[in-house]
Amino acid sequence: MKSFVDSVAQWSRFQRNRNIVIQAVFLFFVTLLGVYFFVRASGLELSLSHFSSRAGFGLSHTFLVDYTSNDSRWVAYFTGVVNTIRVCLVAIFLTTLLGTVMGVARLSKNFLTSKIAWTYVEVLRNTPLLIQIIFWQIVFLQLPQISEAITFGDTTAISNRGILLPWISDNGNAQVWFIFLGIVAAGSLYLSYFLNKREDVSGKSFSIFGNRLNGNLAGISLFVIVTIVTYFAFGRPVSMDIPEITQNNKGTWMQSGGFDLSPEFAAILFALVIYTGTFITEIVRGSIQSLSKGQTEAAQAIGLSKYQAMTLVILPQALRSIIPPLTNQFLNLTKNSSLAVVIAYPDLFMVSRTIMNNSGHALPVFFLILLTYLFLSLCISLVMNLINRRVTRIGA
Amino acid sequence: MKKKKIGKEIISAENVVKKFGDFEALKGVTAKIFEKEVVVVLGPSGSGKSTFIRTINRLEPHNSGKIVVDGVEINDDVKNLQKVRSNVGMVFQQFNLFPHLSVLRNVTLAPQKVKGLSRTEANDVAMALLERVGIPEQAEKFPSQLSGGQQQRVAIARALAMQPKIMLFDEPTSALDPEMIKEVLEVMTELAESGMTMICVTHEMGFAKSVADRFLFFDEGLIVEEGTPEHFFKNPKEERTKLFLSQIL
Repeated sequence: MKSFVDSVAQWSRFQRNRNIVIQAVFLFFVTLLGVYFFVRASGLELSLSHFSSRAGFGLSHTFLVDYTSNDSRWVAYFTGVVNTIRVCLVAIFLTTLLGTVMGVARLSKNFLTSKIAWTYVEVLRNTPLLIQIIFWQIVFLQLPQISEAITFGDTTAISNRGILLPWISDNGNAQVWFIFLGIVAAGSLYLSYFLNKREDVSGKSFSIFGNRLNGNLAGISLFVIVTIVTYFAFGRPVSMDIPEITQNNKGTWMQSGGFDLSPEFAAILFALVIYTGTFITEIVRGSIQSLSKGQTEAAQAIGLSKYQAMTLVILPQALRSIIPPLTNQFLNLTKNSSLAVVIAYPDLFMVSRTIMNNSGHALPVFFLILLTYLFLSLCISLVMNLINRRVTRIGA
Repeated sequence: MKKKKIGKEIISAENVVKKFGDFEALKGVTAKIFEKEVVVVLGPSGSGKSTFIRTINRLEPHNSGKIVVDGVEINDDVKNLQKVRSNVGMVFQQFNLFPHLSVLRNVTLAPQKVKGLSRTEANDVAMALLERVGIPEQAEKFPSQLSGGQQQRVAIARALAMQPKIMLFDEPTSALDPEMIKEVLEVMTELAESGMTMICVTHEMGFAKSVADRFLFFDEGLIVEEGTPEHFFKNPKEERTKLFLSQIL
């Protein structure tokens, strides 16, 4: 017996053997938990078959999807997903812009500029996002009634029903035209790249009538010219859509046309942009400060202006340390967009809740919601990782 | 080295004072630099020699006194400042190359963006300069792929790309491994012989002795002694100068 205890003591002296014991114990409890959940869940209804039935409820925002209450719950859910993606994409674009400008402003030597940026960050990152969303909703509902809408010429009308902006309307084949323009844009970029590369490698440039063909200018010109020519070639695929406010014969005010920035959409957009922007401000500021002061000095010493030094030397380098934490903020923004439910913006969470209430099946819908957010987040991560790889590919 | 002709006055500093908080780095420096002159600035660390050359292109704004570079007074005037900065090239101890740009783009950046040269023109200027500093084959590489000596030579090419009238060198070889110092000094010697006006803060006494027209010796924020290399090496007047030279020679 004594010898058995001894040999166990001997065996347990090695780190590798200890790790085996720890892992075995852990695995045992995980298995136990898994079995418990499996037994509990095996009786549950996890199918989403009820999603094929008629939705039966209307949605205030249907972007790109022609949804009516007679469509299936799948279509309703998809409309919610599109609404979520729409607010997130616009918010990510705007918050990056705001955060970058504020981050640079925060480091300004100008007292007023840096204090404005400082106040913005300290006030808005230290108050809850939920409260900010409701605050913006209240602000937009305080706008004048539609009969007294604030108008700018005939182009824009602002009232508590939303902000109406001029937009473009499809005359039939706009989609084809947009796809075509996308291809032309890619071609123009390649042309610029090709011409610049050629100049770098061979030292020769193309010339037209004795003037050197500037690579960047050539790309931009190509895109602009092709856009204008095909606009007519496609038979004017888009036209200006000017918003209108009219009063019908019963005296009811109606708004039509244009791009309708509803109070709900505007509120969730403002809140997400402004709140997330504070964190991006700090990321940008930190990344710029982490660069050596010598970079700014070298840029100044060769005669670059402050603006050139910032855009050509400082920001491109700061980008390397900005992108990983920026990805986190984009993910936060996307997940925070589910708070839109409090102001009844029909994002994917709000639509799902309506479906849950109508159908009485909560658990499978929750899984679907989680998977959808997971999918959106992974897409953002993927794109950001690709950008990150590109930015960090070269140099130190 | 053949004797060259020293031209008219190009930099004049009068009573320049620079404070960092309560600390006075420059306590009223007065100096004149002439065209085609090579001036070596000596002095113990913290004596204000780097601060002095950094006030010439206003990387350090001076608190009082007057600095005139090529007829332009250095002050808060942004337009003047950019004019001066494109006339004054600077080489740093830490190279300060832009790590996100290739060697070629490091050199072409200012000619393209400040002088408005086309890409081809800027590339030609840059390649000629890289040839001059002896590393044309590195043009497409990035700074981190180069040795310290090569990086510093790129930095010199970058400064020369604006065709400056004056070059400032702030301890250009202090961050280099010993075996790379020579290649940088060779480039600097060639530059001096071509008639460039140069102000160098350096501890390379061999280089200083062979190239310099004049020494400025700084101590505690003031020019304590100035004169030709012969004067310094044969019979320096000030005790402080003698002590310093005895320690580094």
